[in-house]
Amino acid sequence: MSALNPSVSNIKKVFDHLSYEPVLDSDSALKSWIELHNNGTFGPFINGQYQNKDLPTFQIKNPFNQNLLAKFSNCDKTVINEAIESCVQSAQTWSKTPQTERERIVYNMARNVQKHLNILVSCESISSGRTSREVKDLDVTQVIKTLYYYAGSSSLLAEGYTPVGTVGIFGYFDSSLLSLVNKLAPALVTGNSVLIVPHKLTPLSAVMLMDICTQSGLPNGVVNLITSDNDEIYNLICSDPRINCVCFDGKTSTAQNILTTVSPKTRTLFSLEGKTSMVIYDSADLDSAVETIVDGSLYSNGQHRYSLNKLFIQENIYQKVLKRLETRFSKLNSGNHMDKCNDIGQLINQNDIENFKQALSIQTNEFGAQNKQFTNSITPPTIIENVTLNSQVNLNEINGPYLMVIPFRTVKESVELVNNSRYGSGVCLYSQNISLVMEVSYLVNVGTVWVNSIPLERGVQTRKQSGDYCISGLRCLKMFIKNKWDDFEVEKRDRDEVLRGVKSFGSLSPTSALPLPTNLSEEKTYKNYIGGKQQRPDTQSSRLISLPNGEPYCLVPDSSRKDIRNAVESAHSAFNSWWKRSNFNKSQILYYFGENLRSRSKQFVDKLRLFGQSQEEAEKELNLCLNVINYYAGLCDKNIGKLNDTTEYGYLMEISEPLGVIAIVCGNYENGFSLFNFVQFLVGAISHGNSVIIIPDEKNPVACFDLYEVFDTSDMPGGVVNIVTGNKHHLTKYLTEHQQVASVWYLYDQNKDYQLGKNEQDALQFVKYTSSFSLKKTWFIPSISQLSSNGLNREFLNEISVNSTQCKYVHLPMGIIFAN
Amino acid sequence: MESHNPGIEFDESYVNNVNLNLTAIKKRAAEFATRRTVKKDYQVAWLLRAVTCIDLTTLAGDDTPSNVQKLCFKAANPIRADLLKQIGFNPKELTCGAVCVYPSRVADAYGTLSSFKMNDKIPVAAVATGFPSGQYHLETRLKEIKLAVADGASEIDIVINRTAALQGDWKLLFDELKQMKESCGKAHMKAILAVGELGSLENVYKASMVAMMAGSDFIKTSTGKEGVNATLVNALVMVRALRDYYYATGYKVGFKPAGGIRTAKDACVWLSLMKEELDEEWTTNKFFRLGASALLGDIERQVYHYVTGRYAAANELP
Repeated sequence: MSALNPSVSNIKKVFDHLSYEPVLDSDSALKSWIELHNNGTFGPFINGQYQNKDLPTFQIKNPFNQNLLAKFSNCDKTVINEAIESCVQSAQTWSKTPQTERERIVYNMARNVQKHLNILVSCESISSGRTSREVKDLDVTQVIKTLYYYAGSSSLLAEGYTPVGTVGIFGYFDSSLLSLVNKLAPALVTGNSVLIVPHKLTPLSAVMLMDICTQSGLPNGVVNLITSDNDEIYNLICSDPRINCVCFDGKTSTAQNILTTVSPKTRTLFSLEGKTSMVIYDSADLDSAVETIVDGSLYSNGQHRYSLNKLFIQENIYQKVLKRLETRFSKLNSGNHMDKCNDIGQLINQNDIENFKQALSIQTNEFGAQNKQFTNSITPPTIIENVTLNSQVNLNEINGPYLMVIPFRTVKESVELVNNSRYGSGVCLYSQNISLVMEVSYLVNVGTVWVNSIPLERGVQTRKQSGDYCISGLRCLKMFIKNKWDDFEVEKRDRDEVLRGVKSFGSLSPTSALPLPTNLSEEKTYKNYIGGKQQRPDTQSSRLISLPNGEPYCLVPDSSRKDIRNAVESAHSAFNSWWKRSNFNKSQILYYFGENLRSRSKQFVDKLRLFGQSQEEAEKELNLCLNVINYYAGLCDKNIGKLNDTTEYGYLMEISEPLGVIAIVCGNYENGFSLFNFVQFLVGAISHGNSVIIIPDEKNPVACFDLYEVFDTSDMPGGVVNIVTGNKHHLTKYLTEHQQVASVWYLYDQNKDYQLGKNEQDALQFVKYTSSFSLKKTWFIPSISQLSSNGLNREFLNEISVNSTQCKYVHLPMGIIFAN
Repeated sequence: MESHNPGIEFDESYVNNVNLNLTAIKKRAAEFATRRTVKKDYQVAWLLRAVTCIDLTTLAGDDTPSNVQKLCFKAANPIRADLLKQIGFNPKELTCGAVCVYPSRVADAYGTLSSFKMNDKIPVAAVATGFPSGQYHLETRLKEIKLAVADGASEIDIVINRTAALQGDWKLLFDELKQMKESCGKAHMKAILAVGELGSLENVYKASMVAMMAGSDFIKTSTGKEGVNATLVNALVMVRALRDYYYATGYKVGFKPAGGIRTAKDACVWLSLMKEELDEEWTTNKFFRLGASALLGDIERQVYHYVTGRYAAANELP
């Protein structure tokens, strides 16, 4: 028999009081991997090689014990330039590599992640301060699923698409590896080259990902990686016109900054702040709800964009839940994140630790909240009661494991509480009542609903100021495919030029009705159409509309800021009842609108002829209008959503929802079709439940104005359609600046050789820049008519639908049967 | 032994408005094995604790005095004495929680334990009340309890009336259990819910509550004869019922999972479940029992490996 083991004396002690000891994950394999890379100094990864460039470095440390883990290069302008150039070069061949080959390589990546799972987990965990259990169970497992999903995505894509080109992917420290792979996989498989910029706090797993790419046979240069601890890097890369698409995860303020930097041409995909809230109803399984709170609020130590920080509890179960919650929190362990028995590790960001402490103390000292803290962590899990809703903790996104607990009385009130936020990522609903859950899912203005389950970084869509990124499915793939209507050229402008342009854009031009015209051939008084009524412009000014031969024809309102304000208010108040109408009812109204327009055919054909079209052309245009109205009337009750696959037992519903208030700025149609274009964008938007403010062709709004009468006779509710005329740029300015407008569609005019004039470039730059304040969506469309040889262009109409809707994911797990 | 749960009057509010979510419960149940873990000396200590909680069981038609006798010997000497000595344990002090047999074998078990003076250290538990189905007249079910107690059983593992549970007649179930408790006298009553036959987790919860209101000292998952026996999912529902009852009345009731618990690793997970969802006192054999037969062998193999550094051959641990 062997000698007495020295630890045996301990056995009796543990036997008497069952206790745990630290069980640390080994990091020896990781350490030797780091050593192998130039003794722990990682240069930029360009063209398949780590560059040894003698650059200054920054360090990353294990957040638990501050031990040095590795050093990374601080890349400068020259290196960034080199990396982008490598992307641009490789994109040419990679985009032509057959899809099957690209998929095979992504498949290899999935395989290789599986083969090196352990080292990848310890790499991600040790450098991020997150527990290795969480990283393994939630992140790396999902990394594998994501890679496999996109490795088999060809069936989702039509043949012959064009990739966006070069994609810049910025990682975030809350789930660095997963958030990179969520974009990398769909970008690669659709033929884009990628520049990866990991967050300065957590670059280690990104480098390991580079090794996995190489090992999986990805050609050199298709993925490049640069590191820097200087935040200027965002501007340097995003403002580079060679980067066609920017994927950014992180703070909303950084994303807003990026929007003011990028060229109007650059596509942006944001996954931003907006922590998840949870609602517990009295029909909930309370103990399970409490477990979800633990998982959700400690997700990534409470620093994840989607971790849970707000808890709404129905008043009649408030104390019951709180007691369970406190008991459960008292069982939590904190400490070394590499210890398998710990529930919470370390915040990685020193600033977050300071903010966390400060915010909590303000909350208690200035707002009289009550905090209860658990474990001896320096950022302990904290339950905050008596929260003032307009206090800092609620309004600003603080990272850390805290939970604000707020009671409510009724289901209706809970919906209002959830919606009363500028963010729109997700909400968890706890209830066993299916009717309740379905209705609340429908009413909350968030991208993702988690029914009786935990918010995670999968099957997620965000909205409002939480960004517009969609993690999952076809929608995600489409973000990396070029849209054939995207193609326009803008000149590169430096920062000062951009700011100057933005500042002077849209200042009112002198009203064009002066000198007062005489002999108008149409004496009818045209007014703006706002809230279902004809209204004089607030400016009390008019502009002159002339016929193509220069003969003055009529006066229309020359509107300004206040008219836009009124129109947006009316559209906003009409929106709620419009989108909640049954789709059948919407389609009935649109069909009726078409019917009434048909009965006035002659009047409209005559009006179109007046503005220079032949009888045949005018009839054709009117016919197109009628067809497009019928098309969207028919689509109303068909484009409502679908089911997506989920690894959970249950369903992942993808519901198609309207955006809200859409502003449409029509272009100038010298060769006709101004009525058709007006109608197709307008009807496309409202058929999906949006309300609209539309600015007709500034030179030829007359036929559009005549549509009022048709709306009025078609049961169209007031405020769904608002028509305002005036100077295109001036009105664009106020529409874009209005925070309530969810999306701006700007139809830009091109000259004869399809180039954008300086004025129109100014407009696009202004709209992109200004959209940053509320993170509104923007869509830039060339103002030439999109028709196919036999009439309507289905592909383009579909694009209008895509731009009229946003999706909401509802995670709906099921299950009741566990035995006989 | 004093009963630690006198029970309360039947209160319908305990079985109304029960909301349970299977998916979320499954997820939590799966986490006990990953959120906490014990290794080496800690693991051995936990396993020895598990040994003291085992109701070493034989419930077969071919049970005879001789195999019951062997069972009793094993319960008194669960781990090879030389192994225990090497890790600082007195072999005399480590025994199983109880032996569990059919009513007609109680006399054999009690006799054997008496023969080496362990009858006051290791209780004899008898299954009763028409085990396993319970489909018998109440009169004979109650009579079984009394006869087993008379033969020396100090714990009675009764089965509940599943017909009443499935029909939602909780008052009937309560009344029957009350009478059974009375028949037990000083013996502890362990109520077997037979969760695999209750149809829904809500019923598992409600049956747990009714059994506790009627004064059960333990609630037990299953007979080991149903299609679904002790799983962490139904255990979690029962354990949360224990907690709710404790919050409401201040009485702690014990928990006994039975059926399908075979590995040493399982034993640690079950202990961890009790510690994390309840508290440490709930991990002692006063409040926690594992109904098992093969489990002990696996634990002994783990202890052998810890002490010697080698895995045992089958014939080294008789």
